Amino acid sequence: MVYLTREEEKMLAGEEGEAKRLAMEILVKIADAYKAEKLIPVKSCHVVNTCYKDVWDAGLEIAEKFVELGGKYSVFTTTDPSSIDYDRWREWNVPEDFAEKQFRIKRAHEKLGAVCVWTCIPYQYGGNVPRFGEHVAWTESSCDVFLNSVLGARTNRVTAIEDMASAIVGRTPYYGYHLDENRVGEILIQVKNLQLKGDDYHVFGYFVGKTVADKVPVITGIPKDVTFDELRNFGTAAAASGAVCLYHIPGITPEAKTVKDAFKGEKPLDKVTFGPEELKRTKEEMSTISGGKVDLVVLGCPHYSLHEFIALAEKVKDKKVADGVECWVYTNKIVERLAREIGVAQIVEAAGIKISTETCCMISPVELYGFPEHFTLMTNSGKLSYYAPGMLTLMRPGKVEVICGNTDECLKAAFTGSI
Amino acid sequence: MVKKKKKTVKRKVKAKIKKAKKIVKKIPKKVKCRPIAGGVVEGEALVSKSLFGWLGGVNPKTGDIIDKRLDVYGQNLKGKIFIYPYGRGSTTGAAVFLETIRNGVGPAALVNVEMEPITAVGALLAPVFYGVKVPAVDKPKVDPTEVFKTGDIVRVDGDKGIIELVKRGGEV
Repeated sequence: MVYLTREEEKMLAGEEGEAKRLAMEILVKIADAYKAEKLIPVKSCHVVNTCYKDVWDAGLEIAEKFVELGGKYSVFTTTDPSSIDYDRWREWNVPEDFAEKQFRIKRAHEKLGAVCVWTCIPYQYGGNVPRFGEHVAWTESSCDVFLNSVLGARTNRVTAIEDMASAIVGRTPYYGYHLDENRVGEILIQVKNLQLKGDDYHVFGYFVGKTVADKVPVITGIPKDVTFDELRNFGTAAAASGAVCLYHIPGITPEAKTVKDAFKGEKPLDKVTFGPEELKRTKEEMSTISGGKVDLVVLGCPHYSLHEFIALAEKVKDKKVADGVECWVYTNKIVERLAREIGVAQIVEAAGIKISTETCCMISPVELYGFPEHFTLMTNSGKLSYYAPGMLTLMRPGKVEVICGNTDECLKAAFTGSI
Repeated sequence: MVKKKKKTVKRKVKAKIKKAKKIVKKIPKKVKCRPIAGGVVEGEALVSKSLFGWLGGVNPKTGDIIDKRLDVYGQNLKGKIFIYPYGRGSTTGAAVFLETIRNGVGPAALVNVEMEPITAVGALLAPVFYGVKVPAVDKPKVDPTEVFKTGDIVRVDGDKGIIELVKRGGEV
């Protein structure tokens, strides 16, 4: 049984209200199942029980239950994306009853006291940035891997419902990636004969996730000038095709200076090489067809950064999306506002690309937006390419083909209608 | 010389198969595991060798498995003892899982080689919110995705941490 402090015991006994009692019941169950010795305080949370198309009525009912029981988030808590663009949902073909359910989820989080940023990159644009070594309880697989690996903060892959419980009592079970012993490298991935750049990181991430599942990869052969966005996109794909929650790139990520340091003197369980052949093969594997007519091009999974917007504006200046093709970019309101202030959002829109905020492709009811029953989506995202075929046929029978390409290839498809 | 070598190889392969058959026959009737979520249930096994994620893995309205990358694509989870190696993917998993339970199309029990918290939390919270026990165990002494076959009747004791083969299914 997990050790509880006096205060925690009081909460579990219901002396501080029903919401805290229920939250403690949930955390104690998890702590006991994973043999956590205690609960630890967390500095911040990020909750994922936020999008109706993921969490459905179960997530909605439980969020409302916490409100009904008088729950309040006791630590700084941000929200993951929503299933609708709150300002523009009427411009898309979102059913009224679907939107209403999403608004109920929104009201619940507002009442609980969340900072509603509706983004999967709150650590980049959203004001929720844990420091090195800080213990937090975050959801969103793409955040977890970034926090642990690049920022050096400590979180498990906290799941929906558990996220709200942690935010309410400001605690999390002390196990998994909170402990030093579970942060040691396990599998060595060597990038060879290949200078990774730009969208390659989505593909590399997909490969790593599939290869290591839930193990901790240690990666060599990454150029020193790898960018924040590239690391972010890499981890996002690795956490989608696998369950990667922490990786080390010696000399780049903060917890390991050298390969030896990353493995803490132990031998790797396995060694894997990633070269031009693996890059090509993985790219093919991420696509369900190799080419043809494209109906929809999607960028911004994870949410587009300002850097990506600036680069996109350069590429699309004086060009136009072809008739019969849709091209969308997803981001959050902070990035959109900055992109508008410096004039790049206007350039992107002038090219016929639609900007949508606070939601994203895989969790909005895209299959109801008027595409043919069998349609083709093209994206640069490892995460979206994994989820699109299943997620975009949930609300209407049909078939979604995915073509994975880099941004240039995606834009070529947007401007010509095929690839 | 070459012929002789071939023969030896053949013999070796035969011996291997024989040995493998022996091992399969020797499956302990009861397999000890780590208990995660309590309850006892008996049902038909659905065995997968793929990594499984709840989001995009299952349609929570119907229980149908919708991820084309999985070897169990097109099967239905309802009432099954779902046996697979590890979880993967989105952290919304526990809510997706609870939605399958809410709609009465969820699995009856879960057996993993190693269960990640996303799946475990779903099983732990099903009785809290929907009054349904979904026994969950992991770390069995043998690889459950090798030992059990889809269609087998399996009993899972999530209190004691035991899985038991009740009857071989039609596919064996």
